[in-house]
Amino acid sequence: MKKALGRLFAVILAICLVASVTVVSAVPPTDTYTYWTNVGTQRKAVYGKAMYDVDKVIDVTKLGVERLTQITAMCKDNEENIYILDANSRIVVLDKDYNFVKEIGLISGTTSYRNAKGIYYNDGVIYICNTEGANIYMIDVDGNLIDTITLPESNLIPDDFLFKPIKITRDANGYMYVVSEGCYYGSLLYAPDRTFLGFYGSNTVNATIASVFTNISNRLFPNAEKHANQIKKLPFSLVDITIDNEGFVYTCNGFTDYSTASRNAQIRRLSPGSGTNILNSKVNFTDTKIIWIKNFSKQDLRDIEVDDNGFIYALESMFDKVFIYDDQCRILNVFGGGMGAGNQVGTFTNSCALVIKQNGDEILVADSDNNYITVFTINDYGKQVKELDYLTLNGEYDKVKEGWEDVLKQDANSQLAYSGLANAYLELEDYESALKYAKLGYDKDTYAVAFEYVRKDFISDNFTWLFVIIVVVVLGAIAFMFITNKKKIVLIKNKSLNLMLTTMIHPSNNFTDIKEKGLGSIGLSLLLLVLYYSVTVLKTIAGGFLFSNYDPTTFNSIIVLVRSAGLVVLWIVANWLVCTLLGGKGKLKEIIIVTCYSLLPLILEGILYIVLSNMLLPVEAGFLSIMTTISLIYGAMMLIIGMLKIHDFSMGKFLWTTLLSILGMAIIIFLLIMLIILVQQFGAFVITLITEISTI
Amino acid sequence: MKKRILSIIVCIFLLLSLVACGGEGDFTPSQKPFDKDVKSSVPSTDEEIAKNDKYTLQYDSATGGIKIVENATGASWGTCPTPEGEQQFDAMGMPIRRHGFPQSVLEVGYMDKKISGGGNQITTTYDGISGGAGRMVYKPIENGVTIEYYFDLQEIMIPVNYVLCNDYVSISVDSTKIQENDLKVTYVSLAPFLSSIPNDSEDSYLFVPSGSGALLSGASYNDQGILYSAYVYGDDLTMEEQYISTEENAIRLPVYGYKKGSVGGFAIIDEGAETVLLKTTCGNTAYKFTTVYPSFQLRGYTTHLATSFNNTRDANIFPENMIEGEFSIRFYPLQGDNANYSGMANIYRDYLVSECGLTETKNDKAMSVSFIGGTQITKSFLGVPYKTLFATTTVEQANTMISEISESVDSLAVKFKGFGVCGVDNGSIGGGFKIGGNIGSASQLKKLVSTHAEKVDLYMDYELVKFASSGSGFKYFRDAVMNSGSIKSEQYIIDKALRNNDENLKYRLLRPIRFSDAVSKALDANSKLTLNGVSIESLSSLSYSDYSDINSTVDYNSKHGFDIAVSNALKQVKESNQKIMANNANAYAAVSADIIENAPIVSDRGYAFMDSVPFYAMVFKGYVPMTTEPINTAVTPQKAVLGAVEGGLGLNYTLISQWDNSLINAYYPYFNTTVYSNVKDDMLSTYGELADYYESINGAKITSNTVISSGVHCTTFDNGVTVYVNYNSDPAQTPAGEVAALDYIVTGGAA
Repeated sequence: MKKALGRLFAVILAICLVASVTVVSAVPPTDTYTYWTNVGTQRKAVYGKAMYDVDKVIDVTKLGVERLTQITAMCKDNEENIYILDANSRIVVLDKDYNFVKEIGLISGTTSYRNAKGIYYNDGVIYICNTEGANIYMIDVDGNLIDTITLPESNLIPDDFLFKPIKITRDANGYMYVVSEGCYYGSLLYAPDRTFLGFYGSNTVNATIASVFTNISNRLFPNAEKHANQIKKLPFSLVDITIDNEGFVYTCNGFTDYSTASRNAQIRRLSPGSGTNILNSKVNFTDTKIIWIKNFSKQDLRDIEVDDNGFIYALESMFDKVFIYDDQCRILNVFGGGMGAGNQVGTFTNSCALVIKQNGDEILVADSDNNYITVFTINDYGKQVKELDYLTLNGEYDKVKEGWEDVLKQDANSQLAYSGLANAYLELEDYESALKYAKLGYDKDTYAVAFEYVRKDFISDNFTWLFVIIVVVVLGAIAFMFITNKKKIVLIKNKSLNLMLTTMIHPSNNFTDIKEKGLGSIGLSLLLLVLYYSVTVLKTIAGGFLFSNYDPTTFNSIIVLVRSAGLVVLWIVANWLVCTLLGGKGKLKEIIIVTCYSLLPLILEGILYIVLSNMLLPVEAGFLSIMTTISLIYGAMMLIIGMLKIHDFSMGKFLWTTLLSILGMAIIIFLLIMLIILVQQFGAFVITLITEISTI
Repeated sequence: MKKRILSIIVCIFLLLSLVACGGEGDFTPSQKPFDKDVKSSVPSTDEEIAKNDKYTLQYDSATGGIKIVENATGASWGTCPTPEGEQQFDAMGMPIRRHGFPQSVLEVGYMDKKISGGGNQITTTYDGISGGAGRMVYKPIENGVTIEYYFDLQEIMIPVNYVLCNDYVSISVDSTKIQENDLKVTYVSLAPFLSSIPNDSEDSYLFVPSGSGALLSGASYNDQGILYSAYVYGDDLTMEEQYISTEENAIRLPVYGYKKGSVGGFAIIDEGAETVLLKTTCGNTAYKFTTVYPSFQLRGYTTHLATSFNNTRDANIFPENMIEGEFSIRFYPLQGDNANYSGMANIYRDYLVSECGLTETKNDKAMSVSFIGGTQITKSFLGVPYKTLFATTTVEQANTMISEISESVDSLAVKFKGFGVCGVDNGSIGGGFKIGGNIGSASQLKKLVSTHAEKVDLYMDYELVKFASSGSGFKYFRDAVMNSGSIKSEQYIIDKALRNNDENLKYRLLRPIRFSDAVSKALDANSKLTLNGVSIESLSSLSYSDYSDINSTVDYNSKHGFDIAVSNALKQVKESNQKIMANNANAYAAVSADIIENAPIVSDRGYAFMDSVPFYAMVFKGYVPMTTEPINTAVTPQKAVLGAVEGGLGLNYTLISQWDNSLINAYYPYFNTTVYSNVKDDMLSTYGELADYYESINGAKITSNTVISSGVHCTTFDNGVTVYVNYNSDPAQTPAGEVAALDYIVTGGAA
């Protein structure tokens, strides 16, 4: 028995040595993660449960193909046979079970297609994007040439246009879209009869006021350097194109670096006619952080695929990762990795192509450095998440509750599950649970809907009481005002406090009293300043869930301090310096008092904002905006009146000194930054000194 | 007064300068300058060096190496393999010269310029083909020979001892006898092709103990081959790799081997294993051989990343001094039924029993559970951020969970991880050696101990390696290891998306000379808590260098002596009658442990790897109770369960009691899959299915493990129990019948 086993083992091992398909362990050597949105200002990378396992690795060099140089692209046909394009003018064909079928070499009657970068199958025809040969060969599955597509003659095509086809796709009506390398006009669109219709789906460059002025200046005064800079601002060129089962065209521009422009909408879903992007144009389809590491400072989406349910699969070739999104651009999973050094199964050294099979249940990733194809297979968890997400996005909330609960048992970090559960409970009219899950998953849209119901129910349940309370409060306030006026009752005996509190009602009189009678209080002013800072902070951390993006890990109270109280102090100092020089009669103390008293409307607005943001819905946010604007205008008006009073300026001089004060603020900020840099450098010097001494 | 203060400051600076200048001149390394005059003296024929009942050790005059010949059969094993195939000729009819490396008895790395300058590391080999390698001097010793290999071009001499022992040959180098001039030796690889197989040979593989153990293919690949190398006992953290693109399953056992048909070879790295970088080259068409060999890093290094003008460049900073000591391997020739990885496991187990005091046990644990106490989260008070400990499992909650689990599970071990003041995050050494306030109190824990100690083994985990702040008598600056660039070694938490170092989450490593003190503190804390088990997760699985003493040539440079430092610390635990729980333990910690949790069940999954094998379990099963990697954090829990079944390992779960969405910011990666209420049912049902199996293999040793087909394995225990495991997604045929996908069949014994 033992010997028989040994012999069997020997045979199997011998088979293993020559087999090209290897079953491997499923534990990934890199992190699997997802991104949470609506947490703070940036989406956040969060560990997630893997949805795909490595099933096998196919060594294409071991399939019996001689002199295979480098995989450049892959595609599949309707039977899910795989066509692998080799840079050495060859196509290797595998059947759906990854068994070698045949190879197609040089095509009779043509030149080689060495270094061709794209391959596509449609309706019995294989399209080879012969990038260096500037044409596209159409061949049948036996390798016979059917036709050749070349650059069309058209006035729409610039004279200096270089036709270097890298990708091609064809829609159900026979329209062909060809992506040419480096072309920033979009893809070339051919009618079914091969007539060139024009360019389709180009990216745009967002213009700013500054860029418009720069553009005009460059055109008026051109030079070589400006021309070079201009080229850098051209739209991103496309690197891949594909079509979904509804006829929408998906394009991908790979390059993503530090620039904001490159970090949004790298993948677009274009309507077939107009070419309008209907995906969220603010979504970053790569990692949030771009880092400078090992001389890699960008990310590069290279290949995209879309399945029948609208899930988008994107291969990022710099860090060698696969990103999966649903059709609402919500990220499901990120896996893969290696970044040029991946020598473990499931990682890559130079990932170059991606193909999905079985409607996304299998993902194939080719590595051009070692000519391996890694087959990732969806696991039970992945299947469940994709199915539930699809149902959720289609509004079939009644079918997803148990499923999402099960997903949460497996991965408590699934933001999609919280959102899905919130929607499911919403459907069940269990609004409290919907609120709970929406808040856990930072799903503000669902939270808003649930909150509206909860608020409506609360009001209808308690309308009588609320009405009575409001009437009593309003009547009470009127009665109180009437009585205090009639009997001349002074509730606040402290004159300074009284003056501060009534400044909003009588700014002119009160600021006159501050100047002439010295009734202002520095203590109260500082208290107002502290209150202003506190309210500004509280607006973020205690504001309503629907209106706040508070994230304690990234919230920086120092920045808020600088932006609120710091700005006020800066104004006070700059104004005092300027007005002292320009004959203003206001003293520093008076400037402080007037400026801080003018914060009263903002403080009140802040308190109201905190209360109302916990009661209002996003659709009612306009009310908050109006309130904020009014408070700003009111505060500015108080400040103007106060400044005029204490400095005894004419309006013209006031405007002039205000302008100079703002300039002074800028100079002070500049000097402060210099000082901070100096202190930082000194600190670094001290640390270095301590380090050196400690090593003795 | 001012003048006095000024003069004091000047004096301090002068004093410090004097201290800084002194010292270096006090040390004289043992290595001698290269002897340019000695005459070459080696036998011109294959002379017998030594002989015993089993083997004859012969000098190989063709290569300058040795051969081991079995007296009974005449079978031989050599430092250099016999060239495969017939001599090939080029178009001109000239013989094509074979690659010299397979005919090399030695590989040496050295620096091309001053060590501290971070120059290029160059490799040279001593091979019998290139001829002009240099002189050799043959010096017979007892049962062996010392051959001195002179690299005349580099002015380096490496003396290698070959000694025949009972059933193995010891190959060693004494670094104090190495000679060098300006070019400094960085590593020495002994017998790089002693453990090799011809490419594409049938029924052959290399064995490498990556993770659980792995078999490597010798299929021809290209003229570069597929390279795999890994440090024995894990990467040297003090090297400060700038970018770790993937997680690796470290090499935990200092062994390697090969099988070629009915013969094979197995090597145990006997001395200096902690300094070894184990290298493999698979399918190299230029060499025509696939090989695995140890490379002793005699000078460690630290990677320095220089950045300028958006360009970065790595440079390795080496220390001036070479580590000194004996570095050796034992090579066991294998024949017949022993010529496979099961035979290798038996040899290594016997070695550990005789040399390291490994003893048998019948107290296997069917399950271990780790409770994660807490993690630090950021909150804010009026916008001012502050860190606070979020209790993921309080002591009270742990108490309840243990009660529930132990009702169903008979033999349970429990670990409390991250119950200190900083949770699972890096803070002071040992987590301050006290329970975090939000997690519970000492009295609550004592109550837990009194409730469960009789039925459940309880271990408190102390982080004795990584620390981010001073405390409990350990200073963040003073007690941290130094890298070879003479600055404190900074370690970083790796960012979860791009896997780069997170500059905001630095920590340092405790100097090995302080391990003993740290363990003492842990033992004190444990006795106060009335616990009798200490978990040493990091101490048992991590290893690193310390270059704090620039004159030291023995302790902790290039990890040298790290294993001894840990072993001594563990001895202390044993002496205090406390039990030890190790985690994914290196060999030196595993032999002292009372239980190993998170024992490896997969290898590193390199591209050249054919299959993972449970070598680790084969060595320790029946000697140290083991549990598998946490089932609930595995990507495919079924496969983790199968790994446990195949190796006879107990189940292992990591648990928390409560989850909150603030944990999405945590750097501990498994909070999302460890919530007890979500895991409990699966955990208990899996145990229920396996309880009888565990009962049947309690204390049993593994006699063999075979790969029936890719992903289908069979393990046989010494009490007759056999288990067939199918990791594939399709059913598989085995001698015991069809095994369903992701399932197993147990036969024999009481099953």
